[in-house]
Amino acid sequence: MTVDSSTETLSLSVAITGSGGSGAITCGLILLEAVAAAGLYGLMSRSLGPQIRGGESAAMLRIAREPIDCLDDRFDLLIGLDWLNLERFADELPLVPDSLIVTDTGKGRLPDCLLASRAEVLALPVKQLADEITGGRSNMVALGIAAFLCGLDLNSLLVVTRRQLADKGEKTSEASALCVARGFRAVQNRARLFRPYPAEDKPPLWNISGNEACGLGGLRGGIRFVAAYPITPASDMLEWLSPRLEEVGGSLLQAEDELASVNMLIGASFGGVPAMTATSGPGLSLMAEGLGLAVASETPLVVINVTRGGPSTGIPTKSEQSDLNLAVFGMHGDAPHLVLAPLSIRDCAFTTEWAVRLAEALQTVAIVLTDQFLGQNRGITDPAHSAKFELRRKTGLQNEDGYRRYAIAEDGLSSMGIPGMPECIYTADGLEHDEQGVPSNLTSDHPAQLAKRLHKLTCFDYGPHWLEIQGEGDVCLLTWGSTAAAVFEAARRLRTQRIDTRVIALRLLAPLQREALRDLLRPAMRILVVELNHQAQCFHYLHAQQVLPEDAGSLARPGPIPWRPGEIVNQVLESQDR
Amino acid sequence: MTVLTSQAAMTAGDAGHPLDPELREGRIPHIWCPGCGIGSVMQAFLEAVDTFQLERNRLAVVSGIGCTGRVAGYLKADSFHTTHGRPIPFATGLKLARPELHVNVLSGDGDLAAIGGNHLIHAARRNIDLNVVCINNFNYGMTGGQVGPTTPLGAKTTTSPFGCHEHPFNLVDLVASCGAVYVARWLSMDVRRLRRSIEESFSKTGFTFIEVLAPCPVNFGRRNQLDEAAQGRMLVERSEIRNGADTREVAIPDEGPIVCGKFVDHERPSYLQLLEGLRARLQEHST
Repeated sequence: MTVDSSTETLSLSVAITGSGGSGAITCGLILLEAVAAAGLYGLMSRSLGPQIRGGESAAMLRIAREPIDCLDDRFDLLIGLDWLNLERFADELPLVPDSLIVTDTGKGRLPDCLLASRAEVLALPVKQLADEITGGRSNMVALGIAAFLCGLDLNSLLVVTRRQLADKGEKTSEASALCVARGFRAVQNRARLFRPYPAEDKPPLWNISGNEACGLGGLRGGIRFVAAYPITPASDMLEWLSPRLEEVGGSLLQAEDELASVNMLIGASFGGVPAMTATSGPGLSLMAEGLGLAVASETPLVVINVTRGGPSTGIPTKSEQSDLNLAVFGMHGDAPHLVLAPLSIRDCAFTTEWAVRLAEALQTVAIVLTDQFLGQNRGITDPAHSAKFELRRKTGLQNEDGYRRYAIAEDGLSSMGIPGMPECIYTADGLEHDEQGVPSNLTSDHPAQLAKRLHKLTCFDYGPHWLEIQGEGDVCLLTWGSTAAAVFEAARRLRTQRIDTRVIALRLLAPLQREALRDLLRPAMRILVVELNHQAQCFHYLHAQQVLPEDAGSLARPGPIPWRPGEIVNQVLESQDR
Repeated sequence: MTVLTSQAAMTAGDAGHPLDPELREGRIPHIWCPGCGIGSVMQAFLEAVDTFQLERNRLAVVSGIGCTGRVAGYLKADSFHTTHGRPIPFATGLKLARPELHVNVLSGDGDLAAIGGNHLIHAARRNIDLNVVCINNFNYGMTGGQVGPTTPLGAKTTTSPFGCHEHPFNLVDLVASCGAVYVARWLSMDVRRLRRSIEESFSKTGFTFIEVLAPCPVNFGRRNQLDEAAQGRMLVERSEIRNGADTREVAIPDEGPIVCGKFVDHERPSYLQLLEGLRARLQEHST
């Protein structure tokens, strides 16, 4: 067995499955932590049924020597604690004849969908090994098996296991360690599937989810108030933020609905405290009116939208990039605002910090589009340092001739009065207003204020962060948000096949940097816009903004399974043949 | 001197209105119809601010949408005119951001109890430190007199031309049962008691709610044989003050007495007090 030579990033993909409660996810989480301890990079995605408990579950990991941000095209190793309901998510676990399936001799026959892959099958008495230890569990035996095959070291695995299970009590953690060692030794006669380099002397890697990284970026940006309504897959960001906001002197309020949460943010922000919320599509829909109020009253706030499959209740536990239209166009009237999208789990911290600072400095709404894939997956990544932006909200009395909250300025930015500043008392209003903030339906004020609110966003210099760009070539893959990771990897593979490929990954979607983007696209021969939604929302958005040449193509497909790099490579190759 | 064109200024002559310094220059005349009760509630509110000696830089006023919603824009105070139904969540965020502010919500029955009803009950439940004055004019005045959650059974409105066939809210009972620490109901004409009540609510810690029944002669009265001053007169004639009355028994009846008064005035830890308590415990735990 060898790792596919078409992948430049040498990596190993492992899936552990079992019915809910079998401990497959715990097994994956400890394995991921062991990967981090070994100085390797990693990614763990989880697939859960809609049930809160019970149902099926799978931990899907990829480990590598280089940073990786997406899952591979196939799994090298699949360990089944049992095979109940496997067919429900077999599509998410592609296998090849090179793959290895570990099955428990006590758990019956392999499902046909797995046998069809012609992968090698290794049957081991997993449960029996666990049962021989008091308090032993199959998932810990599986952990040992997986860790050996991944090339990890037993001693450090045991340290990690004990640490991760410390809060379960000593009995459990010792029984687990024994199981891990048994599993490890049960496959010791086999060849390892992966050889990590000896750990280099480098700073410890981070084990972080995108939702946590967004929370961190928010705090770094200065967020001190969060109001939110729980919604899958965004709720874990709230759980992470709640105690940490307290630590930094902020607070989190769980609102009665998203109409309340967005308006609470506007209230706090009007009061001078940077404010943020986390939600998903249904919640963002409910917030649309409030976001318009924030735009019109020029009150900064940030919304992290962890996109799930839509429309309506859709697929709450799965990923999609189908809220772009809502994020860009969801408000009534002409309501210019910022839309950003992180390009990886680690980038969630950077993009959110930037979004907070931009929203504050530009006195507007920033919507950050992550998704279930970015939000709930855990990555072993290089540390994400704070970008320490200098951007700040302009406040206080600025003009000599009295306070005008919405004064027309060259850069469109007028100074915010904060309650308690006696010289800048004003009424903020969702009604159209004049420079003082007085409601006005004059033919002069409406266009002037609309232009002010647009101009402050379009004339701002966003610096280099609005995109990531890699490579030169005849093929240009244009993408945004979480699909970027798969596209970057696809481009690396294409380059090894001598297809020079440029990747443009947009971090800032609105306001679109039209001129700059157009300049980058001109030399490209074949442009493909890659995204995870059914109706090619970004492709049509770019077309409407007239940045794409006429022959640009679209690579769009809906979730729930994120793009895999090989899929993109194949599509590019096909389009070349055409 | 500011040129005043309001009715107030006209009756006060060149001397202007005593409350002129509290109002935003250039915003008068207001939009309210002759006979409307909202102006006198605004006056009572401003007088309460004065007699309570509330510092101006500690006062914030928040309104929603509707006739009452316009109050925020007329006052010389840090104020916010939110979207329809959302003054309470806005005010909640503002209060948490700036606990030193006195945050007041002045809005209408449709705004607070229909489109914003969910926020009203949750704010009362949380006992969030806000003072709410809800002006109930029994209909949606600004949009032309449609039926609302407080429209009495049988009353005619533009969208209930054959008479309203829905039960109205008993707002004071709704809010009291959710946990407000101060609940009262007054007529907009009873400016003196209203002012005192608003003042009293300023000294409370937690969520206070004052319902003010106000005539709407142009949009509601006119369609219900209560033209011009008739609705106001009817309210005065039928009103009866019963402080401490059980809120379950003060639903506004189709006929008979309309009970006003202070119904609830008790203590219950407010949202901010509970938050402070939590923080103190965390502090203790960490040291």
